[in-house]
Amino acid sequence: MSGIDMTEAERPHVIRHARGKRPQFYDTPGMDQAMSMIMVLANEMAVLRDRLDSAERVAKASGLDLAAGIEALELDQAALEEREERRQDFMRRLSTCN
Amino acid sequence: MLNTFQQADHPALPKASADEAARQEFTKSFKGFIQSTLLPGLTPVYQTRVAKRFEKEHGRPPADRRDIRSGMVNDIYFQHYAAANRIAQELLWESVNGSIDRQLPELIAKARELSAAAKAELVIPEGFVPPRYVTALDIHCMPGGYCSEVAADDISVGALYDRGVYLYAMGYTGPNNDDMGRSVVNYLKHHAPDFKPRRILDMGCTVGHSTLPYKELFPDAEVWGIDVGGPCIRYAHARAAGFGLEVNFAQMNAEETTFPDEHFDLVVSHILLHETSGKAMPRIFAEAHRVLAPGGMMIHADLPPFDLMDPFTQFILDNETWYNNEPFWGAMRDMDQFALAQKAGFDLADVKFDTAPMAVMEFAAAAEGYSQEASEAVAERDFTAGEFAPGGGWEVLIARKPLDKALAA
Repeated sequence: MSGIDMTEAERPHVIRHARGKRPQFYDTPGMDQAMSMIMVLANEMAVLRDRLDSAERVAKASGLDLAAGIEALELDQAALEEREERRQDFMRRLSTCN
Repeated sequence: MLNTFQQADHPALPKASADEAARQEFTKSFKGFIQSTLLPGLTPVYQTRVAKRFEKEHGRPPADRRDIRSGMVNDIYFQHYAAANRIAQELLWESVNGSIDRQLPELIAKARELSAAAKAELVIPEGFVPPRYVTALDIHCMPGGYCSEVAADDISVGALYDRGVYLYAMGYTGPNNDDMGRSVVNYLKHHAPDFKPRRILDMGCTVGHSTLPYKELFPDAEVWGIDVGGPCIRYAHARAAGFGLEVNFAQMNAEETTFPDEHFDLVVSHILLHETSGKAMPRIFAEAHRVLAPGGMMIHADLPPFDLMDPFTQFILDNETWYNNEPFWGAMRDMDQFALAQKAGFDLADVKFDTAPMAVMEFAAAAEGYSQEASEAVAERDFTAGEFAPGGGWEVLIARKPLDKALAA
């Protein structure tokens, strides 16, 4: 059966959690979970920022179908560099602990 | 230097939506940030705070990596560093897994189609039981490990490895994740230009990243990749077909293959040994010796032994053992690989460690995001513990089976 013939319920799913005990890094209870949550948020924030960046680029270039445009968008060298610079700067501001 | 390296597309590779791609790109950036900005902070933290505190408490300076670790784990800077590493690893797999989950039946169908059109063999034996050191826990925190199957003809963990390892390596191993194999082949071409292997075996090949360069550079050779992970082997076969390379893949344990004696001229492995066990490693050396023809070479590209490094470097590297589900990572570095090779049947005089320089420079001209300058920067770094990929090149253990062995026996 190929994917097209499957209902949502029939589609297989990947394993999302790794087997093995997770180490604890912090002394404060809950801190490890909080750090994980913060980084998931940070990740998603970066995704949003990337998406907005894409939207602006697509709009500027064509003013046409934004969603389709975003999916098809190819980042050029300059765009890749801009994005990487922004991410590194974001993490510099985030990592204030020492 | 900004890292804009991008993985090259191929027909078997999962396709990411714009958001999935951004999610994945972030994890690569995060790893780069940890390496470039958090990692260098560990040395001054150790020297100015942790070593002094240890000495005050114990009346002597820290003597080995265990002493160093016992002090560092209580320091908040180290806690952030180690937690960030672990979280980056978890985010990395999750960012790829979500994308694969969305398109899994289509990816399986595509792999099936690619494999069906290939001439090379794909061998998945009925009832194969992978060794416990691979299934007991998910190595490097990859959900599902190498062997889990969630559907018929499943390739999901193979696809996860292909994309995930690219992010883990931050593109340092090239657009096709093949720098290790490519570097060893380059090394052979340079140091043994007359060596023309007729048959080549890549042990523990996972999805064939390092396997394919051998076929590319020795096109007349019969190349086999073996691995204990069924989904990895299926994906490897489809991936090779997608690249138009005729490479055979089989689900097989490197400790005990089904190949005849003296069948191969070249037996290689890449980052395999540190994911096995103290019992398996000698058996893998012995098996490599058995299947090697006289005059053949065994080459293992893996982690350099601890005895060559200072205790602080050992401590940094051993974090993988403690925090990344790599139970054999540290112990493997304490193994005497010369003794293992000798016990397997090689003459000590024919065994050596050497460095195979990174081939990443070759990618610079053609690949997306790989500038000449950035590729040079990766290849020409000095060794820094805790960075992905050693500066200078990959550590290789090389053993040659003498030609006259057969005559003497």
